Amino acid sequence: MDLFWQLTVTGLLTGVVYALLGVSWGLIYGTTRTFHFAHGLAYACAAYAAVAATQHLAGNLVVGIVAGVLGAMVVGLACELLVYAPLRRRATLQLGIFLASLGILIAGQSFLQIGFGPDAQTLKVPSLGIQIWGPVAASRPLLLSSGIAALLVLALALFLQRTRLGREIRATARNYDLAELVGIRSPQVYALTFAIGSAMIGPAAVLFALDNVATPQMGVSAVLYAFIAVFLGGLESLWGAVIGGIALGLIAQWSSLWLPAYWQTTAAFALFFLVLVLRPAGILGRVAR
Amino acid sequence: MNVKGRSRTAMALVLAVLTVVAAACGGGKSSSPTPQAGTPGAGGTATTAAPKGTVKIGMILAMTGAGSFYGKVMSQGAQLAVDQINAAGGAAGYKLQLVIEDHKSGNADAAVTGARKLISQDHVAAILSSYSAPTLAVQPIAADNSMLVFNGGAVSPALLNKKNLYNTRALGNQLAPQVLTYIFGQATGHKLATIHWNDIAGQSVQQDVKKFWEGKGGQVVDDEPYKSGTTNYSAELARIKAANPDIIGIWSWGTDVGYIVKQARQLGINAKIVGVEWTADDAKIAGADAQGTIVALDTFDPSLSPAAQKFADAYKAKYNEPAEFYAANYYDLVYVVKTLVEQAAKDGKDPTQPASLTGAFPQVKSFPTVYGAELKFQRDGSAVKPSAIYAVQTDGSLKKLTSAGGQ
Repeated sequence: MDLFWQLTVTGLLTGVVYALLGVSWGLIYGTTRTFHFAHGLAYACAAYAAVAATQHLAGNLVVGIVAGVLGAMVVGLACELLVYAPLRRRATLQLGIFLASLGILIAGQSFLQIGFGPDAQTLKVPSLGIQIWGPVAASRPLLLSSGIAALLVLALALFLQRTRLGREIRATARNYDLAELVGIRSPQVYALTFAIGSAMIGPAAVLFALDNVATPQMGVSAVLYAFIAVFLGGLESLWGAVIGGIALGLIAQWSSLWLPAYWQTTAAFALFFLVLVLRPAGILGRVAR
Repeated sequence: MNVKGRSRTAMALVLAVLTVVAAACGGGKSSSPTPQAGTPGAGGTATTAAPKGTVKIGMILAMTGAGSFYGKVMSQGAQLAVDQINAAGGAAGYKLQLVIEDHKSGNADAAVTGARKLISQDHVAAILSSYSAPTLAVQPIAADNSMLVFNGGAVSPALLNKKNLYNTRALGNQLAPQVLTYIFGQATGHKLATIHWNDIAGQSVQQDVKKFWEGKGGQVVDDEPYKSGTTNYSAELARIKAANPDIIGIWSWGTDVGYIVKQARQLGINAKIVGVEWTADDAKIAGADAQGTIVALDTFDPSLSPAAQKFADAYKAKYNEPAEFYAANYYDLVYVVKTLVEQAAKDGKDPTQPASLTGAFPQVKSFPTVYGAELKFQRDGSAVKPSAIYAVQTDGSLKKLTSAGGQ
């Protein structure tokens, strides 16, 4: 039973972080239809920005997180303004944009490796330690990351529902041309979407680096989890990605109740496959007619 | 722009991206580090006679990926030896040159591609390899080409008794029993849980360890194989925690060891942790959580001999980091090749040809080494190496507890 509770707590905490990754990626994909693989680069750059800031400015976690948010936002915006928008203006196919995004991710990883070296980088801030409740333990950076993720997802939901800018994003997502007709400046909305979606993952990346280390490759699994969460939950709504992320976190951990632990990725993909077969539009998604 | 023009532009962009992708991830990192101006050996200052030619040494290392630490220190150690040898006039008048290929931290396919390139395009005379799976994949190709393969990093017992393959690293099934013997005497409880690479290196150690531990009267309460290069061990460690062991044995290498140690402590596991690897990267990752981890390792001790001290000083001067045993192993291996080149030249053979070095090998009884007196290979392709038991300190450094094996 102890094992069950430990797996459940880890699964929930990581699941909420996956949900954040999914929601941020889903916001970008849902609004701009850009298969933004380089989201993983924004994630890695957030961690490296925090490494640099805590080394050169102040060994303070808040400084690190602010640097991470800015780092991720700059990379996300740069991808949109310098690569995706020009490609879209040239009517490049979605596949072309996807390949460009993959190229950015791989080239960006190489640049990080050239700039910081191939060694793992650590965040020079005091350790936060661990939290123990009886038989269950969790690292405090993961707890904090999970808490911030939950707040950010709620804040994004409110922003999209309650503010003018949020409604503009939703309108552009629904119909780009119609949104332009009613006076919404869609290229600006796209840029805003990239800025918000990228900035959101900054804290998660920085706290992951605090919990572990920063490596050039760290963004790859993050972006994979993000889009599994999105397609698992359904592209229709933000809550789809939330459910997808939490389900992914829990199933991956719970599979270790019965199977050797190295099967957890297989279990997660099996779940993904099953959902895609049984509900092609995701858990919350409705099939378009 | 018409539609045709647009699609052509799109096509061109896709091709451009593919080129970038291919350049970034394909074919491995191929570089031929030649001596730079300002480094020892540049420009052939010390050569008296004109060089007779260049003997190329191929290396297949983990230049990228989770094990890039290994690629870095191994290539540094080898390059230092090449620079020193060339500065002193080369080997029997021949210059040495390294050609490095990347197996991406254990990818056997990449290793085979690299080996084929080294053999057919670069015409190397011998190969220095690392990691068990890549080395085992390269060995048959090298043997078919009458080429020697030297390994100073991989640890699987499966590397023994392979044609043309010689190993200078203490193997995992030698090191693991050493650390377990030590901890058996120290620990009060003898319930062991193990976590290891789910490949030939980790599995072979695990099989030997299980027999060894149960033979001593201990009990193996859990075993968690996993894919090397993993960074999240929450599920594996939750299962280990539930099995409530007294000791956790890690039969893994690379950054994995640091992650496992750190995450075990983060899960509140207090069991003693033992292993067969500890690197500077592991220390960085695990931080203060690593304190008290016990590992058995090859021992490179600069105070062993003047040659060792000279190597350690030169390494520190060139790279501004202390030499460790992986750098020492590959430094030694370049001197092994040098000795073979000299022997082949003495026999009147062309030492740029792989078969000449293979032919020279049985005639050389011992090689120079920075590990004490001399390096001798056994019939099974292994070498006797000094090893010791170390405890990891709060700052990640190692404190020697006791000598364990070897000379």
